[in-house]
Amino acid sequence: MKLRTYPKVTSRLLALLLVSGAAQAEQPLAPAASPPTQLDQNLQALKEEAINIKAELQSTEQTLLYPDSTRVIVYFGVPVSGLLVQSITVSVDDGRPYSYKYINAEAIALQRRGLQPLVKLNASPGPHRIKADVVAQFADAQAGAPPLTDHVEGTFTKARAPASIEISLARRSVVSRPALELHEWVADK
Amino acid sequence: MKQLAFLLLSCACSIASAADNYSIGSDEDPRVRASDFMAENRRFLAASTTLLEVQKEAPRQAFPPEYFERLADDTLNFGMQKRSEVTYREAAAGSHDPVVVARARLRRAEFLYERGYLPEANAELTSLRQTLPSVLMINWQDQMSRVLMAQDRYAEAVQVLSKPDTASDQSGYMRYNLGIALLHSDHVDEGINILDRVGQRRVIDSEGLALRDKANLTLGYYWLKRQQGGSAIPIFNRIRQQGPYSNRALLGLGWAYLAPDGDKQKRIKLSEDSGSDSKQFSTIGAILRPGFLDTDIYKRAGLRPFQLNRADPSQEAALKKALVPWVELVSRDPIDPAVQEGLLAIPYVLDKLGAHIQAQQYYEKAIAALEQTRVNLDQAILSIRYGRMVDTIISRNGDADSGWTWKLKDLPDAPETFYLQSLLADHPFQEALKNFRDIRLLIRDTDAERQRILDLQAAYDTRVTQSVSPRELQQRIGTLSNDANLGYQPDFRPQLQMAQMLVASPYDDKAKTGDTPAAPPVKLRLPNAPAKFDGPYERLDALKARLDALSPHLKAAEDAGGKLIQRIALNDLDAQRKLNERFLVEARFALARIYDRQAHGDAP
Repeated sequence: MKLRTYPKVTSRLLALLLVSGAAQAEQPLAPAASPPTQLDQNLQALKEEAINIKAELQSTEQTLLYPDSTRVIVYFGVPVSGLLVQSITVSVDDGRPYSYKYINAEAIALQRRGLQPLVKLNASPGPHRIKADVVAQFADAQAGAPPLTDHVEGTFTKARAPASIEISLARRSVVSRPALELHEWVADK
Repeated sequence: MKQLAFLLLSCACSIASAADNYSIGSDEDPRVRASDFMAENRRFLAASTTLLEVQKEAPRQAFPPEYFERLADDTLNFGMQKRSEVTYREAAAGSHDPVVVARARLRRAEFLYERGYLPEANAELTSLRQTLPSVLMINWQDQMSRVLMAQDRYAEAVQVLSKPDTASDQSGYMRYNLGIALLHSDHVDEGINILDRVGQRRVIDSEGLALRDKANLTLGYYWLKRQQGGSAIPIFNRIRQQGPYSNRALLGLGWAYLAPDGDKQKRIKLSEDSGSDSKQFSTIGAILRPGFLDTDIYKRAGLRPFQLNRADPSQEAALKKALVPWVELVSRDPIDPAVQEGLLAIPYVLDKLGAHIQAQQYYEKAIAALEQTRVNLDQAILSIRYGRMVDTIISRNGDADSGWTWKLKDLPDAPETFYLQSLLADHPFQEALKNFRDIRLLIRDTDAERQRILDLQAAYDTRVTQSVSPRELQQRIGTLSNDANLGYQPDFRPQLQMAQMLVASPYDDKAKTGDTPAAPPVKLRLPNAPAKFDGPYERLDALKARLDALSPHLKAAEDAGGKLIQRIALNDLDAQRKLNERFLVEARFALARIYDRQAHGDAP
C-alpha cells in the first residue's frame, strides 16, 4: 500500500473536514421528516371548520343575491394546448362589459383543463344576448406575431333553472384556427 | 319588437347550440370543471369549497367516484389529510378502477411521509401492497423505501428496492437512495458501485446533473473518510465546477490530494452498464489541467515568491495540487461553510510549505472573514427573534392558497434570510412554512367573510323592506306550484302555505291605489310553525358566530406556527454559529502557533 508522507497532516485536518464538507454526504435524497407537530393536527381541524363555513356562506350568498330563477353564470375555457389567453370581455344584453386580463399562470392553467367562472349575474326569464371578445397568443408564437383575436355573439334563453353558459376558445377540427364558441348547460333533474 | 330583434340576431349570428344536460357532480358539471381550473391554478381552498358547495346543493344526489377523487385531491392538497382520507374512501367505494384508487392512496401516503407521520405512512403503504396494480410498483417502491430510510430501516429499504427487480425502470433518485441504503446496511460494495453508476449517468437536465454530482460527492467523501485519497480524487473530479455541490467537492478534492492514496479499489462489474458524458460540462477535474499547476498557482493565490522549507518535491507537488481547488474555492461566497473551511485550509498548506509569512497573512484574512460571518449570523438571529424573518418569507406570493404543494424555492435577499439557504431542502421547515401560510390565508379569508356577512345582512335588510305586491306573489306561487322541483326543496313548503292564504285573500295591490278601502292586516299563521326560523338571515347570523369562534383559534395557531418556524431557523443558525466558532478557534490557534514560533526565534 502506497502512502503519502504526511499522515499526521491529514489526520487532524480530516477530522475538521468531517465537520462541514461531509456533513451532507451519505444522506438519502429525501431527508428524514421530524415528528408531526400538534399544530399540524390542530390546523386540520381549523381548516375543516373554515372550509365548511366558506361553502355554506357561498351557498347562502348565492341564494340571496343570485336566486335560481334569475342566476346566470358564464364560464370560459381554452381547450387548446399551448394557446395562452391574454384577455376576454363579455357582455350580456349590451350591459356593462366584464373584462378580465390573465396572468401567465392562469392562462397556463386554463389551457390545461377546467373552466373559469367568469361572470355571475341575474337575468329575467326569456331570451338574452351575449357577446364575447378574446385576445390570445400561442406560447411558441414568434416575437412580434399578431395575437389571435375572435368575437362571438349569440343568444340563450333563461328558464327558471339556473343557466350555465360556456364560452370556449376551441378548434372545430385539428387544423382549424381556434375560435370562440358558445354552449349552454342545464343540470339534470 | 324586442322579440323580433332577438329573432333576427339568432338567424344572423352564431348562436348557442341547444343546451346539453349534465349530471350534478359529474365531469361535465361546469362547477366541477371550474374546480379543475382552480386546482390547476393551485387554489385548492377555492377548489375544495366549490366542490363542497355542489354537494350541499344536492345532498341526496349520488355523486360519481370522480367527484370524490377531485374533492379528496383538493382537500389533501390544502393540507387536510383527515378530511381527504374519508373522501378517498368514498371514492374507492364507488370506483371500479384499482389504479385510480391506488394512486389516491399513494398520494395520501406521500402527504403522511412529508408531514412526518411515518408509522401511518408505512401502514398505508404496507396495506396498499396487497392490492397494488403492477403499473404502480415503481411508485410504491420509491415511496416505501423513502419511508423506511426515514425510519432508519435501511436493510428493509434495500429489500423493497430490490424485490421485485425493477432496476431498469428506477429513476436516478431511487438508485441513489438504494446506494445509500446499501452503504448503511451490510452491502457496502454494492452501495459504492450503485453510487458510482449514478455518478456517471447520462443526463442533461439540471436535476439529473445535481443528482449525479450528489452521488459523486457522497462517494468521494466516503473514500476520504476512510483515508482513500487516491480513490476519492477521480470521483471529485467528475463534479461540475458550478453546481450545488461544487464547493464541497473543491474542498474535498484538496483534502484528497493530502490524504493517503489508500488501497486500489476493485471495481465490481454490474449488470447495468452506463456511459459517462461528464466531459460535456466543465468539471472540477478540468481545473487541474496540465501546465496549469506549475506556472501560476501561487500567483493565483495572491502569494509573493517564497522559499520552500522542509518540503520535498513529492510533498510540494501534493500541496500544490491541493491549493488549486482551494484557491478556486476561496474566491466564492464565504457564506458557505465549505468556503470558510477553505480559508483555513490554504494557510495550513502554506505553513507546511514553509511560506510562514503568507500563511500568517492568510490566517488573518480567514479570521477577519469568519468574524464578519459571526456578526452577520448574530444579526440574522436577532432579526429572527424579532419575527421579521417569517414576514419576509411569507410576504412573497402570500395570497396564493396553494397549500401542501406550495414550496419555498428561494429566499428573499434580506439579512434575516441570508443564512437559511440550507433549510430550503429541509422537510420540517418547508412543512412548517406551508402550515403558516395556510393559517395566514385562513385568517385573511375569515376576515373577508365576516365583512361579506355584514354586507349581505345589510342588503337583506334593505331587500325585506321593499314590499312585494300580492299579485306578483300570486304569480310566483303559480310558478312554484307547478314546479316539479319542489319535492327536492322541503324548505319551500311553509312559505307556500303562507302564500296560498294570500291567494285566497280578496285584497290585492289595488288597495294601494285607493280604489278600495285599505285592507285590514292579514293574520297569517303557519301550520306546524318551526320552533326556530332558519332563513338566510339567520343562517348568516349562525355563520358569523362560527367565524367569531374560529378566529381566536386561528390567531393562536398563527402564533404557534410562527414560533415553530423561528425555532427551526434558530436551531439551524445556532449550528452554523457553532461551526463558525470552531473555525475561528482553529484559525486563532494556528495563528498563535506561528506567533509563538516567531517569538521564540524558531524556524517557523
